[in-house]
Amino acid sequence: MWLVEKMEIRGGFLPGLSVSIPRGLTCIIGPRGSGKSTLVEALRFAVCGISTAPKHCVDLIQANLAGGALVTITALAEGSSRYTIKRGLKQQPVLLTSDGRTISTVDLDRGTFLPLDAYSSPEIEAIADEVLGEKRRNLLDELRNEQMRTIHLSLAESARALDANADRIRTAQRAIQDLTEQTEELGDVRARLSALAPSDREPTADFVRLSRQQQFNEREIAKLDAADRDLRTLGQTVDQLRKDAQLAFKARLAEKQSANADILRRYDDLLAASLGTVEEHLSAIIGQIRESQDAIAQARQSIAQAHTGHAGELAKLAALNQAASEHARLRATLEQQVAKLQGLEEKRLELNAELKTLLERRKFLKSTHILTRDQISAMREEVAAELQREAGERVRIRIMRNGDHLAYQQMLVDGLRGARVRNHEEIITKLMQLRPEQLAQLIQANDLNSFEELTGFGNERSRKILDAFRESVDPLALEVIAIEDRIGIELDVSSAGQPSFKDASDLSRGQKCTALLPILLARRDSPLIIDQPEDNLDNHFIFETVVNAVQRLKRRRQMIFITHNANIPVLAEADLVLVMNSDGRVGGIEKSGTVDECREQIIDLLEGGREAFELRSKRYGAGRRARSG
Amino acid sequence: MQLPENLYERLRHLAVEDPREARTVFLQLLDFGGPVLDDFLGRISSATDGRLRHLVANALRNHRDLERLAPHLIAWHEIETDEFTRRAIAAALEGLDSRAAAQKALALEVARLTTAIGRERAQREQLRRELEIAREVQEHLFPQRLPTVPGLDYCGRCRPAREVGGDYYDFLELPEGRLGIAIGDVSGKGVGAALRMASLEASLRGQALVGQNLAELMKRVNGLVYQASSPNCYATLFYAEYDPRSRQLSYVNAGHNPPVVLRKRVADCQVFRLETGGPVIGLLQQGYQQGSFPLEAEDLVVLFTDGVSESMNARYEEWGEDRLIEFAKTCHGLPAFEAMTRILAAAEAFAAGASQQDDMTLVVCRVLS
Repeated sequence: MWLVEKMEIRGGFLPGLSVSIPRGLTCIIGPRGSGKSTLVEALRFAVCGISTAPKHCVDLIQANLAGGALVTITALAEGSSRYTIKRGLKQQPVLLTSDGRTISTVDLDRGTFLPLDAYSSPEIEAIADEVLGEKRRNLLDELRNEQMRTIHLSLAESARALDANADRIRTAQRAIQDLTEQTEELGDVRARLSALAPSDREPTADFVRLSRQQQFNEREIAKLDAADRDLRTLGQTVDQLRKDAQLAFKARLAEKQSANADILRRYDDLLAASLGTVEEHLSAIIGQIRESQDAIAQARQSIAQAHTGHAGELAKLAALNQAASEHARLRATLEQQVAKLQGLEEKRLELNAELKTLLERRKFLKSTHILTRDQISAMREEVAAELQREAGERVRIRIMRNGDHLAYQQMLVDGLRGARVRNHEEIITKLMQLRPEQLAQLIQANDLNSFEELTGFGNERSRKILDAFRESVDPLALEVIAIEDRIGIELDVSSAGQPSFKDASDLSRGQKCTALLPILLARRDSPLIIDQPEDNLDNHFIFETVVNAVQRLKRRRQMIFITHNANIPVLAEADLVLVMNSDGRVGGIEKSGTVDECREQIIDLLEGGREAFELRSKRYGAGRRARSG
Repeated sequence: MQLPENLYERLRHLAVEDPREARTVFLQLLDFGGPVLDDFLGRISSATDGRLRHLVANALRNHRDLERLAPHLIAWHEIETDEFTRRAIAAALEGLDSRAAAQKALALEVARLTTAIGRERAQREQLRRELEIAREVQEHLFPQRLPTVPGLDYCGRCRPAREVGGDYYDFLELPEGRLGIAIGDVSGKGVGAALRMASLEASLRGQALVGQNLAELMKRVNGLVYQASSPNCYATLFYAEYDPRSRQLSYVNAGHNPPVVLRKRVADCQVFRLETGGPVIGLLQQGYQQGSFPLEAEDLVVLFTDGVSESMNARYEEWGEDRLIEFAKTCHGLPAFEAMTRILAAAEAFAAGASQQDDMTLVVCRVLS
């Protein structure tokens, strides 16, 4: 928790503004164009810069701080250290400690040093209006920044692994398809061969043996190459592992200055000691791999020698070919072809085995990836539950897992385009009951029976749909397609009786703010700036939902509100009211003080001012009676 | 058939890795039925298990399956947060709409019950684990070693209740051969109480070793606990320092059951209570008074927590401090360990096997002549 203690502006639309801001609640009121938004946006600008601010705020700042205006903020941080921030347009911000030292190591714009929550009214409305999309998710995710970053890192890693795996699967699949096409004539060639009567007079056996050997030689070289490549990759992986291990075991647990340093130092030593053993093992493995590589190199030499040895014999092949009769030559060609095709067939079987391994591996990668994604939803549910506790009964915040699935739906719509079936909408509705990984599996396995059973589309329709998907949808992409949660932020709009919740996007402008405020208030402890949308608000809502939340939470965090509704300053007991005004050229603070000191202005400027004061005195009166009685 | 735990974990992964296989396994489970199936269905009611509920909703082959699973599907439908699962369940239940509403209501009730039982079971497991942790923490807090003090025979023991309470006692080795004796009771039960107890012990030890007057010490401990704990947490604490040279017992009693000093007189025992001090700690910022009691040879000091004095029998009658004191008198003259064992045995004999709600802690000191 930190506080904005003081704010000063030199130049611009609010020249000479200087105001001390108390803990608790500060309300800024004033007519349109009096500089209320400029004041809070200048504060946001000084603390956070403009890189992350929305465009309308940047425009406001650029218009109203032009001509070398300078904003100075004094911040009281935790541990009672004070910082001063000075910032003007197109200038690097200056961050000073209380004794005047400049801090240059902090990038204020990253928002981690002095985090500030600021929401202009268009921002609040945008969050309320965006049913699908990341604005609402960010609201939750920001509160678990660290964990989210870790999860996203491992997600990125598994996504990379999945991509690489998908590439290898596709390559293998393509190669298998090619080989299948090539080996298709094997049966035919075999049939032709067996139709040719063997001739005893000519040395066909030699001929066949030599032709086969030629094929074998080629494949042997290819295999040695592949083995060498695999070993090299493995060696690199283990080497990387060794580097990772060095990092992991060198973790320094002990905090030097901490009283517990001695306890942890022991474990530091233990870890360091284990590193030796781990490195030893890994080095042994690397050594083993090197040895195997050497063995392969040797095997290569021996095989090369053997092949050279065959060369003479193979030369005989040509001579034999020359000397043979037409019949024998044809037979030899066919034999040669069979040998070649058999070689390809074997290769295809090997590739099939490799593909199987790749697919097995993918299962693991996929489940890691998807279950990690589930963790994000679980974390959001946790955050939502925390916010819900603070936000009260009128507002409901819900995580609807997988509720933001437009990309998936679009993929289905696109995939269905080529299918000659009617009623696409109905089909999509049915298919959206299946999870992407489920549908991907059906497509990949071309599993018509299960598809039919799960969808109830009937045999013919199922066939058409499944074929269309097989044609145009990549199951490897489909099964890990990004699907996001939808965050429901809802307000109970019933005036009595059964609660009736409506999503923030379906509410009026004022109600949107009412639905979001309790959540924005409860999020964390940093100072909060709210530029409340101007709209007629149901006073009952304001009183019940917003006022209660402000009153409860203003002890926990500093709040600065631009408000148009008197209930907030009056009933939530603002600690400071700033009344702004402007002559059209420049603006400034006309009056500042407590709620009672600014009573007249509150009644004049804000809707429901008089009623709010009446309600307040009733509440006070009631409170007094209760205490004395 | 697999064990339920394995099955749950296995299906959780299988549903992602190989949905088709997951469906086959679940259908086997469905046909197998019985408590394994009920267990599984009862268990998958949390938000994280949406994928498994989806598996169930998607596995229906015919109307019979639907009728069997409908109660669960209806119950889940109301709370489902996973979009795919929600759709699948809604589609599955469409076939049920023509059925009588009464049957649906009954089904709903059954489902609620099953889900509740599943949840209850999970909670109970959680509780059991918490209990183990709390016990472990508590055991580590009790003194492992008794410093030798000339002329004083003493010992202490805590018998934890089924649900670990917040009892605490400690002996501190102080400069100049003095001994610090602490006994207390932290509000609450379970892990929370154990941790508060640990922090109380740390605060007290920290302050006691500084060496200061006891009223000031208690005020500081109170301050520390007050700042560190939530408003409804408090603890009773009796802390005394015994000086073997003067046989003087200085003490502060912060809202704890006043310890008893028994002094033998010709026919009977005289009873003194160590009451000086102030209110419980952790609730208010306040000061304390220090008491002082000159012990004599053969005095027996009995410190206890309300778990001992309020030990209850099956008819909900309390043993009571009077009975405790009367019984303690019969132990006068015995070695401290023997006295302690007898008193605890008596309290337990009174309770006669009724399940104890609170820890029982007893510290006994005997001044040797």
